[in-house]
Amino acid sequence: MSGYTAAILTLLAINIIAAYAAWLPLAAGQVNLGTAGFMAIGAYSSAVLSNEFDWSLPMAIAAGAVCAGGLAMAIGGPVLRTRGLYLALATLAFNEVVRGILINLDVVGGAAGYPVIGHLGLAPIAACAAGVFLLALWLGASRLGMNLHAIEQDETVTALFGVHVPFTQLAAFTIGGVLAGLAGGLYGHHFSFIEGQHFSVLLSVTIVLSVVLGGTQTVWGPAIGAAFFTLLPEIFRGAAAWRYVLFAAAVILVMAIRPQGLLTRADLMRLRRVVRLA
Amino acid sequence: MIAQQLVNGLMLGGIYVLVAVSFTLFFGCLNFLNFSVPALFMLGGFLTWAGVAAGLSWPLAVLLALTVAALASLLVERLTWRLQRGGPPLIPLVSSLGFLILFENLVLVRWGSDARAIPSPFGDANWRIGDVVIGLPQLFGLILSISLVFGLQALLKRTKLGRGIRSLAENAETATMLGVEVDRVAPRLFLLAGLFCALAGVLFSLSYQLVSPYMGDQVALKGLSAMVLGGMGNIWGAVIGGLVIGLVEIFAVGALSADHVNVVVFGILLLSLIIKPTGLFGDPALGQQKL
Amino acid sequence: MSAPLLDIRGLRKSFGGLDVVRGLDLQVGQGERVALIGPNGAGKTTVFNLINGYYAPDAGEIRLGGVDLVPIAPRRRIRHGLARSFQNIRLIGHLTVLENVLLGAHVHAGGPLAMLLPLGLGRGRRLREEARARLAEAGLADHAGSLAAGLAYGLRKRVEVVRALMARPRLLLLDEPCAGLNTQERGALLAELHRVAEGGVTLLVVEHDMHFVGGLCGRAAVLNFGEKIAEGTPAEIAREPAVIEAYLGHAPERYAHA
Repeated sequence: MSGYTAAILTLLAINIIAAYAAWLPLAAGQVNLGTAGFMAIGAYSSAVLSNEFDWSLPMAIAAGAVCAGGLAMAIGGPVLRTRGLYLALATLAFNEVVRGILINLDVVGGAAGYPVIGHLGLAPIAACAAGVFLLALWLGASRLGMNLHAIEQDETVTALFGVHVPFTQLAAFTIGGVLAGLAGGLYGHHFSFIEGQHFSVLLSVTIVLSVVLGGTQTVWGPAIGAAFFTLLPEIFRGAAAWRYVLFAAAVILVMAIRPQGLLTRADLMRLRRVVRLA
Repeated sequence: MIAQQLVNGLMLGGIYVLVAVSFTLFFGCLNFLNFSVPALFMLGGFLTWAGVAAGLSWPLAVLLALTVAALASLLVERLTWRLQRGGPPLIPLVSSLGFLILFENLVLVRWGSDARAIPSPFGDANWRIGDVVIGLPQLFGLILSISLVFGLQALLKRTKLGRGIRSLAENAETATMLGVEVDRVAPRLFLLAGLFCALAGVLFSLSYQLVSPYMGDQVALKGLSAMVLGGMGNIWGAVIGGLVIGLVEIFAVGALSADHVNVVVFGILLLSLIIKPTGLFGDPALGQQKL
Repeated sequence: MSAPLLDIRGLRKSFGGLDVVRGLDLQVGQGERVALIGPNGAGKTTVFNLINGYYAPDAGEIRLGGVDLVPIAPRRRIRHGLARSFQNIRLIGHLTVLENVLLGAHVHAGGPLAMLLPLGLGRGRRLREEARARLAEAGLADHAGSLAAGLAYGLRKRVEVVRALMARPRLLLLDEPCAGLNTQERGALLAELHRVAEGGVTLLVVEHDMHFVGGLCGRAAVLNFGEKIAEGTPAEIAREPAVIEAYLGHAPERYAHA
């Protein structure tokens, strides 16, 4: 495999993990515009642990993911009680606060960025992405996953059947935070350098858009969306500036024509039938 | 020193007021968190520069920029809110984020990502009271934005369109069921709110003489904070929120550094969402799911 | 009658100065099948929403098996044995019929950790078998794997009933179960509800079809402008002048002379 292909695949693996981080709250109708902020928490805390405290890479990255998840729980608790669109606003603010703090935090290099010593190649990162996908498959088939979909479509009725809506959403948001932290930790230890500017609201927005583009109804949607977003510039090589234009136009178009995203649950069931017949 | 900061904060706040009012019109009337607002702001400011750079006269360039932004806002209405009305509020929000990225990057493709200096048509005009310097373009902007809000209020109170908008805000469900009326009112609301933030972009570029494809992001995020602080859906709340955020920003620059501004402003936004999400004067029912 | 299962006393609710429910008293005994009827806008669905907790009453008591429901959060009322179907079908469209029915059994699925298990594991296995069995009893076994959104209207209506039954309620509230069904489907639903009632579930039904009400319910209460204007067997109700006036909008004498 050429270095170029490996680089693309690594990026794809990280983007897929980040997509699942955004997918869990999205499946319950909650927009998390702070995914990049949670990635930054995971990236910086794991980098500090492996750089300054000589933690092994798996331990450091896992700890970074836990930090991000803990923070997600702390923020999500009060905000999710209010419901509605407030989570989008709160996570957006969170993202900017995190970025603002990191840029001013001289211990980790401030605006100049922070070099990460330990290095991870494609194989462990791809393994993590596969693990996250399996976890998503598991959760998607669980009662939690079912309740999330139910909340997304009809919060009121779901609550009348005894589902604790804020708690369920908090669980999804927290697990999402852990996954974002993992994606951030992997990112830092692959590129060997992190800076606050990278983890912008724009990154959070593109993650959310790619998940919605792929479709939130099935476990496959986020992976499809992440692949679309990551591979788009490769398809339109030489027109890199057009990448976001095409991506955004695709999102608007798909939302206008079929707001459920590229792959729906009904599509998946049809696909299964075809495969079974063949 | 403090007097100067007070003046600068209010001037900057005047810009945020217009953006916050724009956000709050969308959110309060249509329950639509419209993230294309930063892009409309940018189109107003950036295209004014592009027009002047292409040799147009100032008024013509501004007119052109406002027209394009207004058309863009109508396009957003067509492809987001109108198609997905009555569905989950998530979808139009997502589409509007798509438009944000689309418009910014279209400008980027054509003119590149560099910030551009834009000459002021007023030269270096300012006004001195003792030690305090008041930039005339900024003062003009502040007065204009406050008078526009007064004008908006008069429009909402006195005209037929205003009554339509208010009925939409009071009972979106009933108004949505009367589909015809909504289809006439909503585009005008998009036009109005779109012009508000595009005009803010024009004023910003005249006052601070710098434009870039991303100029809307930070300003609009602060306008968003202003809206939340003042209470979503409340126009005068947005005015007060805008002025407060402007003051906070200027004082934070003075007391800490320019780099800390975002931490302070968005920290306030995050805290106010956690402690009192309805803001200072908000309607608690807004943004909640209805049965 | 011994202590009624559902005991509503002095129930009041107004919206923006408009009194929708005005001092309603209603008792439903254990195992009874009671209809709540009345013209459109009489406040029937509002009564359901008050029992269910979607609205908080302005005054009055709602007791289920002696427990006052009013201070209990809507989410917790299902644990006291209360389940309902909805006037405009509220199934989750992109979940399968089986999954929708399993949603009804949420309160029996166990604690937070059980939420993380796939649907067919642990306690979920028994619930899934129960769901399959209930769907089969209702004649819906063939549709278990279909998406709810793709189902015909009449089928969706019946899936809602099965979903509510999965909560193993003592009291089942049915909001216009017949609306939109054809004669054949009404017959199937009637048979199904008889079976449910014989299983010990108490029924409170909002329904316009008096033929259906007569076939299912032993007693009916008539609501008009938020007040109970008559109560009795469906046959008695049909002869009550106040009821005829409420439905026709004027006195029966004038109607007779016309």
